[in-house]
Parts: sequence; C-alpha cells; structure tokens
Amino acid sequence: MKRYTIMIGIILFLLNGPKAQNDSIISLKKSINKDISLDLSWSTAVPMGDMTEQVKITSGRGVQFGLSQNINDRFSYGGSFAWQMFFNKSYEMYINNASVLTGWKRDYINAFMLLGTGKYYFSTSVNKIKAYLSIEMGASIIENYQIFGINEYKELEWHFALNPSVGLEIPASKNLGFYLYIKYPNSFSNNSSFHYSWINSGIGVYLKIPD
Amino acid sequence: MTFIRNIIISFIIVFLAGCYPESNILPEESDTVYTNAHPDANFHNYKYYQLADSVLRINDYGETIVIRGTYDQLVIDRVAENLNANGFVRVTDKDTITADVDVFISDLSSITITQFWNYIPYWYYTGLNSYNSETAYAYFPLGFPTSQLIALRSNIIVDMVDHEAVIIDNQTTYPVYWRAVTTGVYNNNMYSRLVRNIDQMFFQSPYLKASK
Repeated sequence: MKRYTIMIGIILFLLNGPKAQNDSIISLKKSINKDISLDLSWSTAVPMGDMTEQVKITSGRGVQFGLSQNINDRFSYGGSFAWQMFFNKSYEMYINNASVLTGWKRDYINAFMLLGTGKYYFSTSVNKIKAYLSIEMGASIIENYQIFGINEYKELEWHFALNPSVGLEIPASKNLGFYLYIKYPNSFSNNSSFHYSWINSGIGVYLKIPD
Repeated sequence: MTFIRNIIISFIIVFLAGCYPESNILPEESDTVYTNAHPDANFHNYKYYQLADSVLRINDYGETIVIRGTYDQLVIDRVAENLNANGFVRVTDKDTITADVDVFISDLSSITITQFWNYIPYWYYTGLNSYNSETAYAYFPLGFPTSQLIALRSNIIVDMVDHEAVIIDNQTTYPVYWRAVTTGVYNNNMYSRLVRNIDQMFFQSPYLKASK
C-alpha cells in the first residue's frame, strides 16, 4: 500500500511538471504584456476656474479616442484625441456705472485635444478590475465663439494641455471591457486667451488586441 | 463605397450640429437694448417733455431723410406711454408750460454705424438734425467683436435732451441726459419686438422718474 502511494505521488509530480513549466511561461509572457488597446468614451464636463465666468452649464457633448500599448503589466503609453463642447445661452444684463446693456448671449466653446498618454496600473485588482493613474500631455486648440445681439466674437487659439486622470478598467471578456474615469483637463493660458479647465467624467469601452 | 461616403457625410453633419447647437438665431434673439444716463442729469428736476411727432432718419452723410416708417407711430406712442407712466407730462408748443426736456426718436437703421460692445458712440446734438460724436466708453465684460451678423438691421435711438441749448466751443449744443438704443436684425414682424424693447429701455433705467 505504501509502495502504491509513493508511485501515485511520483506520477502526479511528473504530470504536474510540464503544467508548472507552462504556467511559468504564461506568467513570463504576462510580465512582458505588450497588448495594444483601442478605447472610445463619452465624457461629460463641469467647467472650472476662469471658464465659469463664461459658461456654467455642464457639458454632455464630449468624445475621446485612444490608442495605447502596454510596456508591461504596470505601464502603457499611447495617444489620444478628445473633443469637448460647451454651450450656454442666456439673457444677460451688463452694468457699468450708468450704462446698462441687455440681450441674448450665446457661448460656444469647442475644445479639441491631441495628447500623448502615459498610464500606470495599480497591482492590486479585485475581480480583475484594474485601477490606473494617467497623465496626458499635448496640445489643444480651442474655439471660443460668442454671439451677443448682432455682434460675433471668435477666438481660435492653441494651448499647452495637461490632463491628469484616474480610472478603472473593468474587463467583460478576454479582449473587451469597460472603463470609467475622472479627468482634469487643463489648457493653459497664452497671450490672448485665458486658462481653460474642466472636470471630465467619462465612460467608455476598450478593445485589447493581443500582441 | 457609396455607403462609406454616406457614413462620413452623416458623421460630419452630426459632428457640426454637435459643435454649434441652437445655431439658428431668431431675429428677436438678436435684439439688444443699451441705455446710458449722463452723470450730470438729475431726472427728479424734470417733469414736462416735448416729444417730436416724427422719427428722425439720416443717411451716411448726415442728411435728413423724409420718409415715414411702418412702425414710427408705434415707437412714438410707446415711448410716450412709458414716459407718462414714469410721471412725465407731455407738452406741445401750444401749451403755456415750457418743457424741461425734449425727447427725440431716431431710426439709424439705414446708415453704417459702428457700435461695439465696449464702445458705444455717444452723440450730442448740434442743432436739432445733426449729430456729433463724443467719446464715451462702457466697459462690459465682453470681448471685442470680430464680426457682425450679415442682415438688415433695426437701430432705434431714443434721446432725452435738455430743452435749453448750451454753447460749447461756439456751437449750439443740446446735452443728452439719457440715451437708449435698441438694435437687432430687421424682419417683417417688428411690432412685438419694438414694444418689448422700448419697455426694456425704461425697465433698465429705474432712475428715470419725473419730479412730483
């Protein structure tokens, strides 16, 4: 009986050997994971800072596209394109000493951003949900278009853009998943334009293309 | 190929609509009302006013145009109603009472006029039918306009001037105590817009109350 037990033990050890080796290859592959990831999201935005003097209404018109590649399990890099639009229409009354001016005012702010992205994934995950920190840096072109009465004002300026964000990736299948994020896009002031900033919250889908 | 082209065209249309929502501006949404009171004016000292029974029109050369517009009587009547409601009393040349102030209504729709957000030309009268420009600025938190809507426009000006002329630089001058301007895209239905805008002139000038 004792002999049989030893033989079964040896057989199990031998059978487990290739599997353990296979696991170690997979984990090695994982550690040099170079998946390419495509993402698309819808974003809302709450104006902040100087922008609130012009628009106060939350924007629901925003789209962001991204393309990135993992360096390893923790880091990825890539690029993204974002569009966010703000619109405000209100009856305004301006007072300056004894002068008063009233009328309908429309404000359109269209922000387009072209950014390089770096992303850091936290190691801990629950149910394969991964939290990440990211920083996006690049350029934005912002059109600020106002109509007051019969007068129009249009400004089209390039800005340096910096967007820190935090998010969660929630896998739905091996290559497909959802993600949520909160972002703080900043388009810094230049000579003739003010500093645009807002808080983005977004939801989107991502597709991972295995390397 | 046609399918892809249609997709691209649809995408561009949706995208442009997304960039400029509610871009179809109604004529009444182009209306603005500007009012300004001269710092030296004390409206509590005035009670009797004369109101010209016609609307003044000039061309780009400052010459008077003698035509009667569709809405002239409406504008005159509405201005008089608002002044009367504020305690002013209308007098005519036939009355024995001398007016404290004169009220003139001008329609400058047909002339080329530069009227920016932060710079409102502020005229005073030299004689009764000609304008001279005086520099006056009103600083509103609006950017300097880069263009204007291309459309026929309505530009009605109501001036309250001193009944007595003063001599400034050897010129007979009637100082403007109160000026109100309403500007907007002209259309065939100005009636309700003019009523609303003239009422707005007085609503945003609460100091315009006659002496009791």
